[in-house]
Amino acid sequence: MSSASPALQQQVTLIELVDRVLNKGVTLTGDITLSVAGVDLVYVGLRLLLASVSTLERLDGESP
Amino acid sequence: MLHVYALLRRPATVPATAGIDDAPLRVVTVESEIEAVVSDTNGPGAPGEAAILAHARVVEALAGANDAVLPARFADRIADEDDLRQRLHGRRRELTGAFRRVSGCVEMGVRAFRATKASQPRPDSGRAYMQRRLDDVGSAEQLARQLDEALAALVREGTSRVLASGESLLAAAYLVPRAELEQFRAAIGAVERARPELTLVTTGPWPPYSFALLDADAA
Repeated sequence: MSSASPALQQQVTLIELVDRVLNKGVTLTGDITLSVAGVDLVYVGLRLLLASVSTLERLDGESP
Repeated sequence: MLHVYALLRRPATVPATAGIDDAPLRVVTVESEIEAVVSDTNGPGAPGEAAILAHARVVEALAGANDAVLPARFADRIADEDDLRQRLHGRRRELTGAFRRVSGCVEMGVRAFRATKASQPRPDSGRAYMQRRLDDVGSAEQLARQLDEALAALVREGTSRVLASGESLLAAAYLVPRAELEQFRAAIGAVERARPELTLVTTGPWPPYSFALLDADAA
């Protein structure tokens, strides 16, 4: 059993998703500098972050 | 311009999914046995939330319908089909090796956090702060070794990086054969029970984003 709360799980999933899409994968252009390797969340749009924060708040509100 | 979602072995199975901005997906043959799934786009733009999620959805759908998928890095905009073929020219061996590597596997992510205690005082000096950071790095490195040992028999490959910033200690990714997924989760659970001072968050299964390059660590 994981002790992570659903809110934490959701937020981490979001971070992991964005990190993968933007920083990993096969480079077609060979332009490694486009990536932001090792820097989490740099590229994440503000809305995406805000969305995760509001999700967190909602989840917190739902918990007893 | 083309947006490339992933490279696949020919013939690729393409699910009925739309791409970024609802653009239809199409298949471009880049080598005799390699295909790319792409959609047309209006030129480069900042990676926005909707586009990131649409890209991820397409790659996910492709990973569900094919044995081996190599996700393409998001920002690589390509002029046209000839441009795409040219850029992949001479990389057949590398790509064939990468397909073999990820075949039948999914990627699992593990992040470790220091479980915060309200009673724990904040470091009140630069020296205390540095000491805590050193402790975190040591703790993260130890956890990385512990995970490697616990998972060695279950995963095809693994990569991890020490973060030690704030509450984040470690970010790791593992290439796991589908058949080992349950065992993998059980092994993570055992490590977590052995380290009650940490919170581990497991994510996935993901398409093998972190293992799409042969020298993933160098990228």
